[in-house]
Amino acid sequence: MAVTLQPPADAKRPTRVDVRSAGSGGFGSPPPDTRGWGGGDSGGDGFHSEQRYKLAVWVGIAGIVMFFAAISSAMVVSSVREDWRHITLPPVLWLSSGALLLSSLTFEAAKRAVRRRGAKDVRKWMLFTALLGVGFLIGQFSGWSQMLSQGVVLRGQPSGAFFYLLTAAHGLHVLGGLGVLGYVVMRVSIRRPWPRPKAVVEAAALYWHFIGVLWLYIVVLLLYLG
Amino acid sequence: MPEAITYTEVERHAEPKSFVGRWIFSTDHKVIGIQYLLLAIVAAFVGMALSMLMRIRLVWPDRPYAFLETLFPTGAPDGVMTPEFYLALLTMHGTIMVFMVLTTAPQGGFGNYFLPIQIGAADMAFPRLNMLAFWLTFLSFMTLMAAFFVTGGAPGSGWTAYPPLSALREATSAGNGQDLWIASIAIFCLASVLSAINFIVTTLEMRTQGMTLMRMPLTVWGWFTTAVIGLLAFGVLLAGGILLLMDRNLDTSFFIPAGLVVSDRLIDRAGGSPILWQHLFWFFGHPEVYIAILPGMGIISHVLATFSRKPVFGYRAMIYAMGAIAGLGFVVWGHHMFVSGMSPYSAMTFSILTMAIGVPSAIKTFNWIGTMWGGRLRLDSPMLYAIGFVSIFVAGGITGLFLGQPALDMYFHDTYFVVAHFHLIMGVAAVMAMFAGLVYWFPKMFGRMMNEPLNKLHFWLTMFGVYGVFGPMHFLGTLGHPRRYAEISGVDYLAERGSAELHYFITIASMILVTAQLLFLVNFLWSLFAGKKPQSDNPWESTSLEWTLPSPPPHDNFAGRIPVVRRGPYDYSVPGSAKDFLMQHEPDGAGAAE
Amino acid sequence: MAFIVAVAIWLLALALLLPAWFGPWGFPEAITPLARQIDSRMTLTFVLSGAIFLLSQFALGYAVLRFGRKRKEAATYIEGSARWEMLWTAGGAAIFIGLSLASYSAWAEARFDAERHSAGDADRLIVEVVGQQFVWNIRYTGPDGDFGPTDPKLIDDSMGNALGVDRTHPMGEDDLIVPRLALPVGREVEIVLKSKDVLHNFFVPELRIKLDAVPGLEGRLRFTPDKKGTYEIACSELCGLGHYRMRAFMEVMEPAAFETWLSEQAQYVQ
Repeated sequence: MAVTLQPPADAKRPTRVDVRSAGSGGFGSPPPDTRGWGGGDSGGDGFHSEQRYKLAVWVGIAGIVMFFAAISSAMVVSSVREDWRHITLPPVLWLSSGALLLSSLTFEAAKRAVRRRGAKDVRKWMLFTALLGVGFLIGQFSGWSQMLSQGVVLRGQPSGAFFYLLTAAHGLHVLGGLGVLGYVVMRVSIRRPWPRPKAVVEAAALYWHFIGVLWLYIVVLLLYLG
Repeated sequence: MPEAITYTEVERHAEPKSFVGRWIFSTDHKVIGIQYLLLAIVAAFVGMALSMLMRIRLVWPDRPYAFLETLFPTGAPDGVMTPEFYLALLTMHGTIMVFMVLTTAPQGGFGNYFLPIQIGAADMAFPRLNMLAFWLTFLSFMTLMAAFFVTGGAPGSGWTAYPPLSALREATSAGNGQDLWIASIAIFCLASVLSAINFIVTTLEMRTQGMTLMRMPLTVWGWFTTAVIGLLAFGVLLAGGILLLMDRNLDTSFFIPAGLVVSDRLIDRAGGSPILWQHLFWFFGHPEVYIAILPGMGIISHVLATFSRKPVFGYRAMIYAMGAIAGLGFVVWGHHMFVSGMSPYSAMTFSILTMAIGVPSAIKTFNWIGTMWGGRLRLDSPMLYAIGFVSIFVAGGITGLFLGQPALDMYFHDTYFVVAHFHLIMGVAAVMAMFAGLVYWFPKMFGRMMNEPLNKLHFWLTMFGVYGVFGPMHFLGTLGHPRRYAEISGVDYLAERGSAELHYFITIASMILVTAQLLFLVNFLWSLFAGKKPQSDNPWESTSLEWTLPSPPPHDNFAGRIPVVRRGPYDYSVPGSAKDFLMQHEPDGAGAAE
Repeated sequence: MAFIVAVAIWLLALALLLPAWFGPWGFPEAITPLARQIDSRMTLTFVLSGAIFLLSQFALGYAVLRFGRKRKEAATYIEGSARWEMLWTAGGAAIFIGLSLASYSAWAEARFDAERHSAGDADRLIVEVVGQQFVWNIRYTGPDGDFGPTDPKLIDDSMGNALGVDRTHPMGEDDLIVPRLALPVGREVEIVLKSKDVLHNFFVPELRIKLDAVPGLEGRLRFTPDKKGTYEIACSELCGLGHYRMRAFMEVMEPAAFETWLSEQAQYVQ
């Protein structure tokens, strides 16, 4: 089964026009450099810049971090409340945490497979990752029901409210990650050429690792304050 | 012999054929920019109508208006607006203006349209993400407007939605208006973060050859800085909004303390802190002020340089000042909370930081005047709006020196003095920048010029109208007139000292101001279809890349040939040059005297 | 055109500034030493900010006037000046931060003292002011000098117990709840600010101070009124539909009259 993971042969790379001397007019302008910050690297059409996927994930991570930082700081200041009671995390969370950490490894394997251009391996490892991700979410759900059976509800239990809020918000981010995984699996499965598999998969891997790290942070926060 | 202009050849993008693909679910940043602008214009007129109703109710509280009864049978029974309805008006006015106008038009509108072109890109980095962000914004606007029509009507807790008032159904109306409000804000946060990611990546990754960071027009710096602020601020508001929604609907009590008694009923909640919301809200809310004004600052710098035929005075200082404003903007939120009951010791830190943020604002102001100094001013209407912006920015900013000192803020907090301050500096100043931008870019966006005499008339009416509306509000503030009062007769000391006359004056001035905006709308629509064709693709003789393109630009902007940038953005009146501007892609000697 | 723009800018600036100083809309009379101290900082800020305001508006108008007229010379190519940037950075920072420091003492006087726990000062009159939608309740300790414990379950407006004071408790039986804040002239007062439901804000313009009444928290304000008269307490934090009419009166009277008033109110309650 031949699946094209390379850029299609007919895709024209941008022709770089040689820039000789820099304009000396203007505001002490430096010569037009052709790398990184100079803006030259994108060669006038950033659609060919593969960095943008990874950069977008990094930037998005900053936004997500602010969201969770806001909830965390609300939790920190709330933890001095008189009605703050400690909650015991349901044991199934250790299982789901393990699944999420393992899935980062399988994602790395998928990334390697993309570099080797083995479409079959990519799909295999991606499916593994997705299964572990779904397993994580199932674990979270049963964690919720364990908490509920312990009698931890939203009313009158601020630590419980933060538990449900943090796990739900994180779960939605995992769900988003699963969506990206599905997209990648779909793209490597159909026969149409896909010009940028490496960039997309690496960006997706970065996001996936991030939600793993984010989960570790949430567990520590819940253990320490919850 | 002068060097030739060089280009980078890139692939062309296929233009969508269907009407829906071109104009509705378009991924073209220019179409999306116009969509944002239209949304903002509609929202601005809705918001303005609400403010007119407020002004009318303040001055003629008992007068019935039949159309109000038809529109809002519960808000205005027999056509007379109730006090609750007044609070709904002010909440919706504030929310619509801050989110749907001041956040969308300068960034989503102008930023979307011109950021990619000015840096020499064919589109945003993620066109589909861009489309998604716009439609989420649209959904957010619709959700907000729906609040008017649910049982209980629009929420009346102000655009700041302070709990417990906003969190307790018992304390205001039992309806779902407040829930829709929160939902709308949450969707808006999501849209803004997605859009911010796109702006940041586009600016960093998509610049054409030679477009170094220090060659970007200040408009681009404004949009970029705003995107960074939005990225970091909106997530915090989203978090706060979710907590508030849970307090309202899921029986949590993040913000609701114990022992509340509303209308003789004990509320069965405990432990929360109303001040926590204020911290979360203002951690977003203060940077939001800069989200509204920074793109405007960029546009004004750009317009002032163009119409002064001079480089921007202190280009780098302008960039550093924007950075300082963005950075300091995240650590001054406490100045909204001097009288909230927060620790008085932390208030002093917030005060010093707040006064420090005045410094970059002063740098910018003096640099704008410095840009004009020694120039050859062309007093076309974009320039007039820009000059008006500087005047209003100074007038609105200077009162910050009072409000930034907690000892003085105690008197002014929550009075009309604050209303005057923030309307001038974040409202009207940002709107003046929008006018400047709209008139300046109109020929590029639509291939026609706006009517110049009508613009000038609009400028003068707006200028005097704005000072007429917001100037006297300072004096209401010095009288100690609290804001958000549905009637002005509730407190004796105000009536005794002439507040009614001031209110009357303000209402009349606001009617003039609104009439002027209708004039602008007429001019805008008329010019779209019947405006004069510009003499060239660069009618203002500007230097940035959008003026190298036909008007309006084609689907993929540069039609596959992106110019290589050779110089900074403000090369006006370069000595030894025959013409008084050198465009960014023109090499040395292109304009040299033969 | 340049002339009209310049003159318009100057006129608008003056129209904003002059009435602020000469107009009939100045602050109401200050009735405490703290209020007068705040007023002096107001004046200082007004003078400095007014000067900056006029300077900027004048310079803006002048730039339009001088460089907006038809002139033969080309625009001068100036990219900026580090010296001027330094000047307005340093000048701005010195003035702005200096102002903040200059009013530090007034803020400390208004709030720092009040934050410390105030037990033991027998001469200070402690009054509780409790906001609710849309009235102010004022509680005096009664002769024993102590507030009784409260419980929201005991709230009963028809019995005049809007605050749920435990009347069976020895400290609570003589507590006095009235709708009017009467104060003796010349004696230091400490307001203990509370709320029963949502946020309210205690604001008497003549005192120049303001503090939110936050449910679940106690705010404290201290001042010494030295002018007799009747003043209004206007709620200054949005608290619902009746916000605009949520007010009470504060009456500053002779100490003897105050004592009489207190005993009259106590009789009335019984």
